[in-house]
Amino acid sequence: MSAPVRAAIVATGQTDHGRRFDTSMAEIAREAIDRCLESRGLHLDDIDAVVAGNMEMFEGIYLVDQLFVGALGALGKPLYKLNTGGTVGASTALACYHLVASGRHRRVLGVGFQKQSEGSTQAAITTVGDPIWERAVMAGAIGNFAAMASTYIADSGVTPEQAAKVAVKARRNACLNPHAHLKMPDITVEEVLASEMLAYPIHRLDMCPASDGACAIVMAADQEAGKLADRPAWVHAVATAHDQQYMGDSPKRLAVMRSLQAASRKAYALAGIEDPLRDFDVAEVYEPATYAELAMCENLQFCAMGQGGRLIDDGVTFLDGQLPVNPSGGVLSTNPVGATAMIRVAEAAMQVMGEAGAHQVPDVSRALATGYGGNAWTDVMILSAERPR
Amino acid sequence: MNAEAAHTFNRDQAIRIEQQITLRYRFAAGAHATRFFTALRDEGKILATRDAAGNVMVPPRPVCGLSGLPMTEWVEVGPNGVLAGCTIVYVPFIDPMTGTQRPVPYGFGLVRFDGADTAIYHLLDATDPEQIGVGKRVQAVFKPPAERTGSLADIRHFKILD
Amino acid sequence: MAQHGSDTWVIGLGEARTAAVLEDVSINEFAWEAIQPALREAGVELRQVTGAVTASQDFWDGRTISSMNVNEVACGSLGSEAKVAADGVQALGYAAARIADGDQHLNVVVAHAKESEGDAHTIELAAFDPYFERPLNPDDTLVAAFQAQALYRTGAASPEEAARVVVAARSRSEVLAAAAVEDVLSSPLTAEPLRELDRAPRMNAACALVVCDDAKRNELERPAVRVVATASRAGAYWRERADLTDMTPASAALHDALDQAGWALGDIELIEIAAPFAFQHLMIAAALGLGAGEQLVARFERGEVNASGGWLAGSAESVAGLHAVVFAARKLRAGEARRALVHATTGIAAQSHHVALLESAA
Repeated sequence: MSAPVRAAIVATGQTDHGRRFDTSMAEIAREAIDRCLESRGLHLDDIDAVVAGNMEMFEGIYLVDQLFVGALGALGKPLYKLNTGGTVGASTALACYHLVASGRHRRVLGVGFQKQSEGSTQAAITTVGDPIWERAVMAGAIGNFAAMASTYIADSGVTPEQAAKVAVKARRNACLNPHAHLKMPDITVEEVLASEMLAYPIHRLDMCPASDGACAIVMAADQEAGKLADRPAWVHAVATAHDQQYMGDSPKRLAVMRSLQAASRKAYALAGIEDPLRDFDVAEVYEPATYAELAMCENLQFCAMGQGGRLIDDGVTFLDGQLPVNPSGGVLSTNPVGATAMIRVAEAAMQVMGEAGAHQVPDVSRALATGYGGNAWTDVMILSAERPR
Repeated sequence: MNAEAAHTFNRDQAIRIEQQITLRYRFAAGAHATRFFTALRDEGKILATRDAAGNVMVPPRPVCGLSGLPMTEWVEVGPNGVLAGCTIVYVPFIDPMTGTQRPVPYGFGLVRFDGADTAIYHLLDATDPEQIGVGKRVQAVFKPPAERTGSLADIRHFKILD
Repeated sequence: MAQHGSDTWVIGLGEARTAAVLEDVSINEFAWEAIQPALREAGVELRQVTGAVTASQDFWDGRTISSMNVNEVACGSLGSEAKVAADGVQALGYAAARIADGDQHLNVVVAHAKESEGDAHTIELAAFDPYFERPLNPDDTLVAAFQAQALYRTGAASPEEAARVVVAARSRSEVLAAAAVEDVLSSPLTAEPLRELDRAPRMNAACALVVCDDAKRNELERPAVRVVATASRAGAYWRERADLTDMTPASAALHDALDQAGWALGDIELIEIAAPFAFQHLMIAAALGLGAGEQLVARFERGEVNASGGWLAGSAESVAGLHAVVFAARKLRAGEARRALVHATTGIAAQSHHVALLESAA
């Protein structure tokens, strides 16, 4: 069995996410890339390979990586383009990891970007559905998440109030994140429950926004990492699990998140995580809706199955709790789909590197990042301040 | 453009170009879908595939991802089933098949046919929303044979059984 | 850079039917048609395959997250499926990285495209700059025409020589009818100076490999071909290229791969180049150092380059390079050659290039 080259995230950069009519797609990707490189005094010449993530059907640009090759800093370099859906930002980060861990490259730039204001989000999401089996009866992301949430409610008994607390946590945390799209300092549970019902039980404030934004990371090999960052975020484990082909193949879609269980278990074993609640200091999970975060906490073994509501009632996942979940504000606050999972990875890395500013969790040694998307697909990355042995 | 400039950028200055691309596709439904939709259209039957491990899947498919085994047997499932997930949708959504907005509110859910291990998404009869809930038994309501075209829409929706 | 970790071995090969239209298979059934024989050759069952790297384009599949069409048949449920939106040759490179770092041990690599199911012109139009170019309704053929004009002006190649490449390819094709030079030169103009037969016809194609690490190879004891090196280089977007005939990214990718392998070009007996247009083969082959002028065309005619016939003999976007890997691996396994170079291109007017170097096990 091969031992990987040790790899670490040494730099991150994000745009100010939101409605960015002031930028083109190329400019928004570049904004994240420039911030990422400038944070360490790096130049594009220092980068050996580039991995780009963007869901091209949203803005409607085929071969988007080829069109924007210059803006992506990939001219004359190996360039990989991924489009795995909601997970794409994390898949991109994982590809950066593999390109370094395999010994192929020393410094790899990963960038996820999306300008959802430039396309029809609904139309793009419709094309997620299988054209033969699913498209005729789709109800968009919202109908899908609402039906998923019902599976979770039925199994766990989680209440709308508990779900609303996730929204409150997210939008208040976002106020401490200069990059976040939605910031609501005064949001309350009552306000969430009073917001427009989109599809039962999902209220408007239970749901993530559609954003314009980009996020970039530099993944570096062992000897490089120590030179580039004082406190690199070392990759201890990566895992991917993609569930079956059709949306209903896992009928308990949110109650039992098969791919999240499979990927997290593999990653925990690789990283020596025995008790996630105790072993992680922070987690950035990909929660497209409030109920999803609670279900994810269960399926990630932060608590027993069915206890996700209790977990948030006890304040465990709040910024001052035992295991802060999504101190950045999460997907509920910012969602440029091509970047969103990369933002989870970057935010987890920032926490390890001590660069999360106002939303920094104290004394972070180990962080968890997850990506979610497609048909219940999952990516997991575990980062640590300690170099893997 | 950096953050400072972005904040001072006057939104009225932004030039935005409207563009529409029409992408037409002719998807081959394939052998499994053809058999399924033919039975749906002509006989009002719902078919599934089964592997040697006993997994029964709708939509039917050549191989089961859980077992890795070929799904060589065809079995009939339904037409009744159980609601694995459900919702009432209030937000207007463009029906991909018609290009127009589907009237709201409507019911939408995950239906697991009797005999199948998987569920499919479909519309629910929302005449009495209180009746809709996870675990409720449902029945496929077919369009009249003359109106069926060999698509999932040949089932108009699922109604809640008392 | 020195090889790190386990080698990557190709132990199974499979192809689906290649045809202009295939309406009896959905994409997922089509991919399975390619994957099944590869699994059989490798002597493994799907449930032993724990991951896959897939190659597909969302626009061609008419589906956001096009790999959702194939992930279940590629590595089963909950497998570690990864993908690239490029030719399968690059997918093979990514698969090799995940084997080298120990993350994966037995994977499927699969590429697919059903080009009959989408409208090529509109899909390609979507690859163009929305502000300056789309209003002019271009596609890849239009830019290829500029590129061909530029090439022919330099005298490095001629329409007749390109036609001879088409003839050579079709003479080796199992799915396309043979053609004579006159047939090519009299076929309808698509964009001056390019004619219909100058381009590979749109097809439905899919092929798959089973790849594994050293340990699995020893355990399974199948005839194997080693993936010695892979490399990619992104070129500039067509409008930003001063010289459309400049194929530097192709030669850079080749030299990267040769450096990794410690090979010289002359060490390689089997060479396959994948590009959609005939003239591009001459342009790319010249950049790779395979010759020039009459001497180069003769190499195509003799089958010293593209003995398979390549894309022009029947393949599709994202698939052509991997198809050539399947062909080359078969030849290496049969002892007909020891070393192979497979090239593929992605992007408007052969913008970016991918290379794989393979070696027989013996």
